[in-house]
Amino acid sequence: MILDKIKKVMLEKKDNIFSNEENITYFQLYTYILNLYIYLNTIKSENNKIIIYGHKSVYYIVCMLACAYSGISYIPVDVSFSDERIQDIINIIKPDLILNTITLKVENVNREIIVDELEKIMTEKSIEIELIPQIKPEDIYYIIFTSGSTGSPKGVQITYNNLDTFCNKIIAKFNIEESVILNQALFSFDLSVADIYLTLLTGSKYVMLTAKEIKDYPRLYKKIKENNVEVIIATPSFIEYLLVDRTFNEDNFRCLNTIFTCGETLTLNTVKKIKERFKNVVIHNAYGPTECTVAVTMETIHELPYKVPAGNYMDNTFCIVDDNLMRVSTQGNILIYGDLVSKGYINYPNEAFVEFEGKRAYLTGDIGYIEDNKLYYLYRKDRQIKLNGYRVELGEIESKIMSVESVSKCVATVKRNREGKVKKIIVYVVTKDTKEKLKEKLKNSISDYMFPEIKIVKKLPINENYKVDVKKIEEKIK
Amino acid sequence: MRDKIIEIIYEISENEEFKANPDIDLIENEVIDSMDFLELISCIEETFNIELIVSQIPSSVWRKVNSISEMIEEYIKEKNEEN
Repeated sequence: MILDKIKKVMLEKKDNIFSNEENITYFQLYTYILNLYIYLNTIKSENNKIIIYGHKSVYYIVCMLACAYSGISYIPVDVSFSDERIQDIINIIKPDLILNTITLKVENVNREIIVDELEKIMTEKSIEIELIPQIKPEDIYYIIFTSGSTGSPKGVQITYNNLDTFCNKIIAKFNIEESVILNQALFSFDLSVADIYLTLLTGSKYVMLTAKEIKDYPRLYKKIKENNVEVIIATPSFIEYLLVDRTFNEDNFRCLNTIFTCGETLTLNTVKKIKERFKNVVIHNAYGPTECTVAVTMETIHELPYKVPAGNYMDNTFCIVDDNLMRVSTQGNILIYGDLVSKGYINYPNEAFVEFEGKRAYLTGDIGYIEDNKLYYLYRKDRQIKLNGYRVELGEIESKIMSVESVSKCVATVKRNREGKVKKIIVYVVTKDTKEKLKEKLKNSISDYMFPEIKIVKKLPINENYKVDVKKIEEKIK
Repeated sequence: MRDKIIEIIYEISENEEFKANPDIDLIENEVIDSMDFLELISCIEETFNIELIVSQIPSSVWRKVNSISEMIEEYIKEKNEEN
């Protein structure tokens, strides 16, 4: 399985550079992991769970892998998390230990190893011991927290088997050897799982972007350019963030050959822009919730399509069902089944995990449809509101507006009165059309009773995961 | 120019502290967090009819209204020279 393969890569490609922050080679990476693995095997672990705290660094990755080889589940937590969220996670996980890869101290924990001590453990002279994976296929490999609708975070438990299945899939899709891979996502966001493991399994160089570097445009482009980045794995919003500067093109970034997007809808507009700037770049677009291990379905976009598919039906990982879990081919609920479906949430209701045709399955809450064996994502189902007595799905309004060609992005929100009753629906739209023109185009597709107030904006705000920040927009309206 | 920029920034940020004192540090005081930043860039480009090359604008420029104003003037000057 993947941990055996990664070990093989670290030893066979030992002189390859893993990261050029301090020029860490694969062999150094191996010894760091081995040392921490030896240490972790000496401590008494009751709960078999370790929180890793910090921000992007080689040490952070060493911690993840040492936990994995030791058979301890790791929980990645980023410095950007609020104290309240960290405390919630600690309460749910009850970790044996926190591996803290930076100097700031996490409050209220029993046991914590701070960076200086970690460094000492990792860089010690190794004793002759072999790195043997202690983890079994059904064991929890990592737990990643997502936001629950009630506000308390939900921890998704991914097994070693889930991750192994995902990695084999992504390796087959990418078909790359020794490349330079750019990481955008925080390690607490499961999109990063794709770039970390793709890198490790291919012996590639890993280029991590810190939050500070992303916010500093000149530094950001310089880093991508100087490292000769070949593959970018990011959210569509991040790709758009890069496309703001017209010098982000194939003349200046000659090595870039692949863009992999996941985490939100990739719009046709963004695809067009990428193709204009980079004629030969291959675009892979993927779809999948954290609950099903990063991405369950991927589609390579060759020609400029008239709409952007989120996946391929031939992947045999999902189907469209009606509300009674009966298989349908037209529009409906996206249901995912098979080896990528996780073990569910830790200490949280798991009713979305169901059995379907004898297989473990997950009802995503996403609405989509299949056309020509391709999956098209429409909207999330859980944003239903009541306006003047009518039930309205905000996602449905968004998807109708998005189907207008001139629209590149949109978010629907509501304005409520003091009692919390919905007064009206407001949509924020990025488009070249005027408000009147857009209204005219939507007249036939959106019914009068749910017709929203339209606000044309130039850009929508994005959050720390580089996805459109709906919460922030809602706060503005309050 | 300065007033126009203040107007744009207030419109995006709705930050009252900034309205009271437009000379505060925009980044330190979180007037413009990086997420509003994209909107700021688009607004400036449209209002002044210029195209910013963000990769060449040092991040320190975005700290103060005055330095943003100087940067835009530079762009406009360059554009006029080209024409």
